[in-house]
Amino acid sequence: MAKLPTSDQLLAATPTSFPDKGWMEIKPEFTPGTYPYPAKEATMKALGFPNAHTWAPQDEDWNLPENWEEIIYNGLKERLEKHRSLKVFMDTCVRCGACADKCHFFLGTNDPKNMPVLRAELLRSIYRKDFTLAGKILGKIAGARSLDKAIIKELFSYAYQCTECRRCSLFCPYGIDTAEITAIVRELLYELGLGINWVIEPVSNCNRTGNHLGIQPHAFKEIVEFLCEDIEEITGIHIDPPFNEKGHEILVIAPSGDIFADPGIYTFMGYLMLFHEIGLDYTLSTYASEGGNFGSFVSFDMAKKLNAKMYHEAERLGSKWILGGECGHMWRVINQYMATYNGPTPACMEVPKSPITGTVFENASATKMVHIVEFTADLIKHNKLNLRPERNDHLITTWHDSCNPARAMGCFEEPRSIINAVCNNFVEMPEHTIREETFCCGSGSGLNSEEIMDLRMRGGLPRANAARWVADHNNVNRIACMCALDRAILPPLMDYWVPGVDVSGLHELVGNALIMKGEIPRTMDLRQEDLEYPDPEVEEDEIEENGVENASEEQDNGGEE
Amino acid sequence: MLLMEKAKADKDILLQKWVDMFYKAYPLGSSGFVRTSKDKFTNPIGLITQTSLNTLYDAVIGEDIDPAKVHSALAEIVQLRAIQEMTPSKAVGPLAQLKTILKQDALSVCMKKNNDSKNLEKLFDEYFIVDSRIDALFLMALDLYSSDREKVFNLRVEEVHRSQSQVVRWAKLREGKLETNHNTEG
Repeated sequence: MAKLPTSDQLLAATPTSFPDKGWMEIKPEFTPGTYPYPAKEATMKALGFPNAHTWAPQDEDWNLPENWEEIIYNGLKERLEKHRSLKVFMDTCVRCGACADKCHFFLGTNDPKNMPVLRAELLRSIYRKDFTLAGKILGKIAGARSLDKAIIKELFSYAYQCTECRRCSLFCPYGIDTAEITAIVRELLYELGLGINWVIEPVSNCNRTGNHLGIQPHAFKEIVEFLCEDIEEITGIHIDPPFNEKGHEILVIAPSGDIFADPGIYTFMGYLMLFHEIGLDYTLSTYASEGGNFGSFVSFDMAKKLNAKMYHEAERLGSKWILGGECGHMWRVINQYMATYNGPTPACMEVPKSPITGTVFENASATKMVHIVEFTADLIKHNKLNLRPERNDHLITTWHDSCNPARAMGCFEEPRSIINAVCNNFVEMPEHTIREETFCCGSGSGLNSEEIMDLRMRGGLPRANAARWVADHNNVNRIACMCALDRAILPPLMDYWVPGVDVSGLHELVGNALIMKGEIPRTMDLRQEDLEYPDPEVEEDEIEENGVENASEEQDNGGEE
Repeated sequence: MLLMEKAKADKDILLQKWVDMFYKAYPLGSSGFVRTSKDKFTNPIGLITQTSLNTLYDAVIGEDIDPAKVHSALAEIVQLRAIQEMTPSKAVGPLAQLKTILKQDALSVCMKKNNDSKNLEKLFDEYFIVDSRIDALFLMALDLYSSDREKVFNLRVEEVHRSQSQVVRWAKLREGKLETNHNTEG
C-alpha cells in the first residue's frame, strides 16, 4: 500500500518549533509577490543615481558595486552627521515594544521583523557595530552585527514593507520616527543602485514632464477638458479652466492621479466646480502638474528637487500662493520638510489669504501653500457655499484619515466639518482606528504596485477591518479620504475585504452637493449615476436668483433643523 | 446525542485547539500576539479566526445556525488565509483537523464511557454526521479559496485600468475609436 503522509503531517507548522537561531541569522526569502519590481537601470541612470545596475530580488547575486560596504558605511556616516534626529533614533530605543503591535504590516502579516522596533533594529544593529564603542567591542552581545549581503536584502525587504505612516511613532515614548529610519534605509539602498520601479518611473516622469504618468502638456489639457465636458453634462455649466496663465492670484496644483485615474477624477471635477462657483482667480499648470512628491519615497534630495518645481512655476507665473489638491505625501513634504529644502519661497509669493472669506492662513506663512480641505472648510464655516447635502443621500459615508495630512499635519476637524456639511449620513469608524491613530491604507509611500497585491491586502487589513465594522453595523457604502494614493489604494482593498464600499475624495462629495448658479436640476452625481433624490424641476428664473446670498440663509435654516 | 453533548460541553477547550491549528501557520515568534490580544481592531487576524471558527464549530456540532451565517463565517476565514503567504492546503487544511480533535477528544472519551454496542452505534452515527458536515465545509472552502485568488488577480488588472482611465479615454478619442466603440457596443 502506498504510504501517504497524514493530514497532520501535511499541515504541520513550518518551522515546527521556535527557531533555534536568533533574528539576526534568519535570512529573508524572496518569492514572487513578496517584493516590488526593481527600477530599470536606464531610468535610474537618467536620474543620476550612482551604481545603477540590472538586478532582480529573487536572484542570489544582486550585482552590488564592489565597494558596497564602503558605500553603506559612508552613507550612514554622512546621514548621522546631517540628521541629528537619526542619531537620536539610533541611540534612544530601549526596545520596550510599545510600537510592536501598532504597525498595520505587523498586524496583517504577523512577521516579527515587521514590528517597527525590529524593523529599525535592522539598521540599528549595523549602526552599533560601526559607530558605537559597545558595539565595536562587544559585537552581538551589544546588539551589533557586521554587514553582509544578506543584510542588504533584509533591509530591502522590510524597507518596502513600511509605508512610512508613522502610527508606531505616535506610541513611542521617545518619539522615535520609524518612518524616517525607513526613509534613510531606502536612501542607502538607492546609493547601491537598488530602487523600485513603481517609485522611480513616476519620479522620472515628474522630473521630466511634470506628472507621474509623464503626460505631456497638450494631453494633460485635453484630459482636463474632458472632465469639464462631463461637468457640463451633469450641471449644464461650462467651465474653461486657465492653463499656464500668468498673473493669477493662485496656482492650483493637484495630485495628478486626480486628473488621470478613477475615482480621483471625480474629486478633481469637484475642485473645478468649486473654483468656478466662487469665482476663484487661479490657473492650472501643465508643468507643475503633480502635487504628489514621489521623490519623498526615494531620498531627501529627490523630494527637494520635485518640491522646487512647484515653487519655480509659482514664480514663473507670478502666483501669490499655491492651493494644493487632496494629496497625502505632498503635505508631509510641505508641512515638515519644504521650508528647509527650498525655503524661503519666491519673493512674489505672499501669506495665503482666502479671497472669498478674508481668512489668512497663518499656518502656511512659511510654505505659501494651503490644502484645499482647509480652504473649503473655511468657505463652509463662513457660509459661502450653497449646498444640497440630499444629493449625497444615497451614500452612508465614513472618513479615512489619510496618514500624511491627518497624523503628520493635524488635519482632523476640517474634513469632518466639510463632510458634515455635504452629507447627511456620516459615520465614524471605531475609536483607535481614526484621527491620529488612523490605520494606513496599507500601500502608501510607493508600495501600491500591483505585483505585491497580496502583501497590500495583508498590510491594509487593519484599515479594512475597521471599515468592515461600520459597513456591517451602519451600512456604510462609501469611504472618503483626502489623499490621491488612498484613492488608488483603497478601491482594491475595499473590493477584497469590504465589497460594496466605494472610495471617493472629499471634493467629489462637495461637487455633488454644491448648488451652482445657473445649473440645471441635477439628476446624476459626478459619476453620472442616477441620484436617489434628484433635484426638483425649477423654473429658469428661479435658478438664476438662487445665488450665494441665499446660501447663508439656507445653511442657517439647516442648522436650526 | 452523546457526542454532540460532549462537544458542546467541552466547546471552549476544543474550539481553542482548533483555533490553535490555524495559528500554527504564523511565525512562532509572534503567535503569542494573535492569541493574547483580544482587541477587535488591533488584532484582526485573531478576531477573524476566533469569530469565524466559533460559528463554524457550532454549525458542525448541529446548533441551529442560519446557513448564510455559516457561509459568511467560512468566507471570512478563507478570505484571510487566501492572501497570507501559505500553500492552499495550509490555508484551508486546518478546517479538516476538527475531525481529528473531535475523534481524539470527544468520540474516544464517549466510547470509553458508553462501550455497549447500541451506544457505540449511536456514537458512530453521530460522528458520521459531524464528519460529513466538515467535509461540506471543506468543499465550500475550496470554492471560496479559488474565487478569492481569482479576485486578487482581477484586482491587479482592474487597478491598471483605473490608474490610467483618462489617458486611455484620451488616446481612444485621439485615434477616433471612441465613436466606433460606441457603435459596436450599441
